[in-house]
Amino acid sequence: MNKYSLITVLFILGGLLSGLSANAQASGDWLENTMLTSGKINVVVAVVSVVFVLLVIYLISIDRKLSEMEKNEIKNS
Amino acid sequence: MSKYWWKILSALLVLTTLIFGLRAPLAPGVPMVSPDKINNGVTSVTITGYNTHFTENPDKVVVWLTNGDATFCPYELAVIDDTHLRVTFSITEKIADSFFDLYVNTPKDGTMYLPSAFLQSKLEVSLQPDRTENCAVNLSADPGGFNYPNQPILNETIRNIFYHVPTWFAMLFVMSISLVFSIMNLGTSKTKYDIAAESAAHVGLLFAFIGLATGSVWARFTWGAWWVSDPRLNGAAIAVLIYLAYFILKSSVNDKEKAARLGAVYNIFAFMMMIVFVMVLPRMTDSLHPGVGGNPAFSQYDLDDNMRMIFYPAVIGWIGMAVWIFQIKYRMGKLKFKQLMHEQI
Repeated sequence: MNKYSLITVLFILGGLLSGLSANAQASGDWLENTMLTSGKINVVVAVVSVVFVLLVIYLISIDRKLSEMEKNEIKNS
Repeated sequence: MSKYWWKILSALLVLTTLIFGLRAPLAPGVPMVSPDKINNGVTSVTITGYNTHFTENPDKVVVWLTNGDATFCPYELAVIDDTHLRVTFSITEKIADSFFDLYVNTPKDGTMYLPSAFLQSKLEVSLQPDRTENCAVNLSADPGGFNYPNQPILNETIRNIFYHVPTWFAMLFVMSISLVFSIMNLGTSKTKYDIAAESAAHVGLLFAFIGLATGSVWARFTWGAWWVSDPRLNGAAIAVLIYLAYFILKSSVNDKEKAARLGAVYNIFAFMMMIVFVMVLPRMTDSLHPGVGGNPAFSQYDLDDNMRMIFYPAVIGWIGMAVWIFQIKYRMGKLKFKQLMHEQI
């Protein structure tokens, strides 16, 4: 199974899980209290953090590919 | 340096929209009332304001309720502090609509509005509910100033429009780049176009994931669930799956040239499907998502002029960032291809 098949399977599984948890109503009191106070400003903080974290994860993946290419370059020369 | 101008410009746009998007205040509003029922007879309620200044001119605070055409005034109004009002209503008629809308007006904050603030409970039946008092007079004008609209439920999260929506614009933009390179690849069979199309789709997928994740967090604390079964959300998820299939398809064919051609054909199909699922189908039904069932992404009620001033630069900035990442990915892809050629020789 290659990388993209794995991502696809994980994506579908995540969708199923989120559908189940919506029915289960697992309410995290701590989470609710943090997010819903002060005009829900922490939701904005969370969203900006998610954008940042995903970009960093992408940067790391690019970085690893580059390292691999550098290794090949040394082998070839 | 001249090559970098648009990269620096987009980074600056993202930075400034980030700062202004977070720094500018939210307009004053009245997000909460308790209790949220008006009973027969005398009812005292506490109105909680947000960013309000009730104590600055306590005599000029005006509160009224509307229900259909009728207006109802409080018979007692006390300012507790800047963000709390204690208001007593005496209402005995039963009115057509079950909900009262709340209006609060102050000189500093202008008119604030909370739709369906109170449910009417156990009111007596009246045949002529035509009580239109006139307390909604001598109202102060809206003070203006740079702030974002304070909408019920959304509150501060309205700022997420600057961080969630531009990722979808960026995704659509790089996916279009991918489509163009796929068509060019079909016409010329040049490998570099295939690498470009794949890189663009890869970056588009990144932004689609960012859009889904940020949307999910936003939905959890406004609509109440991580994922709601909504045509726009499901359409976006299907679009992501279609593009994941593009990568699976390309990596499952061993012959590189065949993979490139198959990928290009599939990519054109994927783009069309994405347009149908993201842009066309959601507009044909109603949903929670703003702008669905009519307008593209948001209506004039969701995005006011102040927000536009931040939103459009944010869209341009994020598109620039996406193209920048795509360029890096594309240059890496070309290098990798050269290495592969070198190894085979």
